Amino acid sequence: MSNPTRATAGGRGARPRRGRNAGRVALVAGVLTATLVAAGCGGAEAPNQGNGEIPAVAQNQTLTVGVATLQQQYADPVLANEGGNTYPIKWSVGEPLIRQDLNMAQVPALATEWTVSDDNLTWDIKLREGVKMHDGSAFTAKDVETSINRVKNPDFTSYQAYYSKIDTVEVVNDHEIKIKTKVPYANLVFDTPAPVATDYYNRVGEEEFRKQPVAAGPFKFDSQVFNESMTLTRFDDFWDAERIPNFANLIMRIIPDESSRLSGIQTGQLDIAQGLTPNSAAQLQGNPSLRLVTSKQASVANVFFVDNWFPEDSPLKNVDVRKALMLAIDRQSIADSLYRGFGSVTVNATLPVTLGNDTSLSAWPYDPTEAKRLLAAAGASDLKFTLHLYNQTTAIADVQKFAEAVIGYWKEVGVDVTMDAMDPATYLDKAVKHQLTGAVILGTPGLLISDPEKLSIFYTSTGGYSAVKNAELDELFAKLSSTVKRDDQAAIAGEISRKLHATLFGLPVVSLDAVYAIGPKVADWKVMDGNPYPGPFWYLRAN
Amino acid sequence: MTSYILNRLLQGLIAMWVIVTIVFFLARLGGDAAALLAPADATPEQVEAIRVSYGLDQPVYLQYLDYLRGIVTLDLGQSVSYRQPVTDLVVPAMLNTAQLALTGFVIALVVGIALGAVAGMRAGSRYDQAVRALSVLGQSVPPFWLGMLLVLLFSITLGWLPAFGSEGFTSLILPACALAAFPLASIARLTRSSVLEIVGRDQTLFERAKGVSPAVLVAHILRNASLPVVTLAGIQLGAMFSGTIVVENLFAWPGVGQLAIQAIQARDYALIQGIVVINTLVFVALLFLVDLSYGWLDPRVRTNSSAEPQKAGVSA
Repeated sequence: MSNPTRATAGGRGARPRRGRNAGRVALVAGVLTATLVAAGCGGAEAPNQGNGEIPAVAQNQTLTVGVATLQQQYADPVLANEGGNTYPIKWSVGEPLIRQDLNMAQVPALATEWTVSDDNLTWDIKLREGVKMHDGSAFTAKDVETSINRVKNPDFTSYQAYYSKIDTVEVVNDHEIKIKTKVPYANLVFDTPAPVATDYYNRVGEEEFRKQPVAAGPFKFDSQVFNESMTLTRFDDFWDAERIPNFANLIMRIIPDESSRLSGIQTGQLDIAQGLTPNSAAQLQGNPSLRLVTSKQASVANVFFVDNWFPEDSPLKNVDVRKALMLAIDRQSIADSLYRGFGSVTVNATLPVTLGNDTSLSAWPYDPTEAKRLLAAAGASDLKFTLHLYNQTTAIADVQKFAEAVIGYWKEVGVDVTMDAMDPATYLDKAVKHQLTGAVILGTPGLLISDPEKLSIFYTSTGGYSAVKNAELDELFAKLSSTVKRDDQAAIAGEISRKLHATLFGLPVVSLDAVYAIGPKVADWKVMDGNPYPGPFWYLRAN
Repeated sequence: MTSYILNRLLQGLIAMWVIVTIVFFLARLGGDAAALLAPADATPEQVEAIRVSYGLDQPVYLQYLDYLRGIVTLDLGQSVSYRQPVTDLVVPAMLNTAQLALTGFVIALVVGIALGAVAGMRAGSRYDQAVRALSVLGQSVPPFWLGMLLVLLFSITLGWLPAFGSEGFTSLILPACALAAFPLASIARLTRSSVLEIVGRDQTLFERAKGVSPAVLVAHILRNASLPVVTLAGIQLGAMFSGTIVVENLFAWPGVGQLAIQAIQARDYALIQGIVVINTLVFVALLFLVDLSYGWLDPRVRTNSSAEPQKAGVSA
């Protein structure tokens, strides 16, 4: 085992101390005060990504990642899909038919090729040969069928929309499967749950399988200490040698408190600390033992004008008013000051990782004078509304400060906004039930909206968090949903991209990076831009 | 004594029923778990289907009756977010919390009584002043703040103890100390004032004049001063069981506090209620044990069940 230099404490005032003399203990108060003061004074530096040589076989065979949550901590990669925060499991234990690469492009995984019939309903999928499951069994089409049949169970809430579109599943041979859908379903192959080992599943049953899953991902499930940690081990027979790690064990420690993750990376208890806010990240900058790794544009902090969903009149239904509200916000200042450079001004509701994103569009500028003029022209100089938000979310760091900043800029142009923060469970429930009026803040993970169809959640009449009822958008999203060819989808998504930019039903204020701190045992880690969740750990390498 | 015990048991059951009922209805004020369980792109029909599948569409009074029936039959239901029986989730978490709370309690009790007793016997001395100052400090510093300070010093700066986790005795020290600070200060204050009162009684002066050995004298003083301290200690132990949320969160301790946060965030009614039931049970049981201990400490209780023991704070 290497003996890495112990990380210094956050900021300038903290120094590594190893002595045991009582004199040091006597200085407790002074040290603590200095440390605490220094903790808030880190300077911003450019994140340092990547370092030197990567050994083929790591000296450190165990890496520990501190994650904020594993949601309800399912080890099963299919059940793990029940929440975005469980991507570490979904991507590590499971291997899907099609996966997203680090640039979010969809690339073949256990499916090698796929075609769809002329009526866009029947998919013929060829499967990769020579693939082994974690129990040593050979991967076959049966494993795909088993996984699809599993999600028929209403317990798999995330797959109910998927399963409702499935008509029939036919195993053609060991390496070919035909899936017929009831409606055209462009993302069928991508959305199909990760295959599971059929014989094992049939032998142990659903309940046992959930506790000890067997799939085909680069890591095998090893053990779990409830509410505390989950341990995965390297799967040496994984089909894609490039994604096999050079270390044996990956431990995910559940540490909900950010300051504890910060302490953990500084003491060496953790090798990776996930979900750091810009302020915490700034504390670590300049520390020679630690590096910061960022996933760019991992999520967008949006303000949606939900009055556009209701039939009643509202000044927020006037596009010029919405434009004025966008022009009134100094987004660059928010990105630079509040997010300390770990944020950037967003051009549009679609991100560069979104299929069909129109790159010719430019960001709305900061122009408070024009904002005031537009408000006056629209007769909305005395505009008042409430901005609702959750008091915390992984999708938007420091969400309350973000809301205060936005409201502050709006006040400067004469708009009177009341802030209404509530706990996430209450807030999301109210948002889904359309019990909120005025405006709401919601984060859109880049990973989610890399698929433009997912924007329908916010921009169609029937979307889960719908903020608008607009016939044109409804029609565009319906067209997108029934279009199967990727190029055609991109063209429609481009139209949607332009429409969202022009109408501003939602203001994509800033996009935020996901920040990780990595310790000296980590040789390299390539992260997925646009992904706010921990992982994937495919390209994580230890020293 | 028997009627005294039965009376206390009945009071405990009524307290449990009231608390469980309040929590049952409060938890439902902010909506149910269906929207949180559903994926973001679920249609309203799919959200409703989830609601139906978990029985959340049933009238609240039916859910309430069903829940009471479950408690009576020791079935706390199924967690909708973890998809496991509530008991399987709460019991191990409660054991972890108990480990933390009891360690903190022992620290608070031993150190608090020792500091308070000596301060009470040396009233007005520098030692007494220091203990009083420490007591105020201990009661004023929030546990999360103290926890962060302890981590900064002992984990990050000195590197002696782990910053979080639950592996082995060393990882128990910092969270237990953070948790113990407030009750320790309270116990020290009350012990001091209680000892001070007993020291000034004629009985103590008489024993001194009689030439009773210092060890016996101290034992007599402590025994007489113990009633309010026992009451306070019982309440503090109950509070430590149910008040570990902040400390557990800070030290990533896999106890019932962390589980409660997750249950609330997921609107997991069954789990929230299960945690409350078990926590209330622990609290009521502890108070019951405290009441029973009066019988051992105060002969009046053994002989006359209507005699009210001296409660905490009366003599403080």
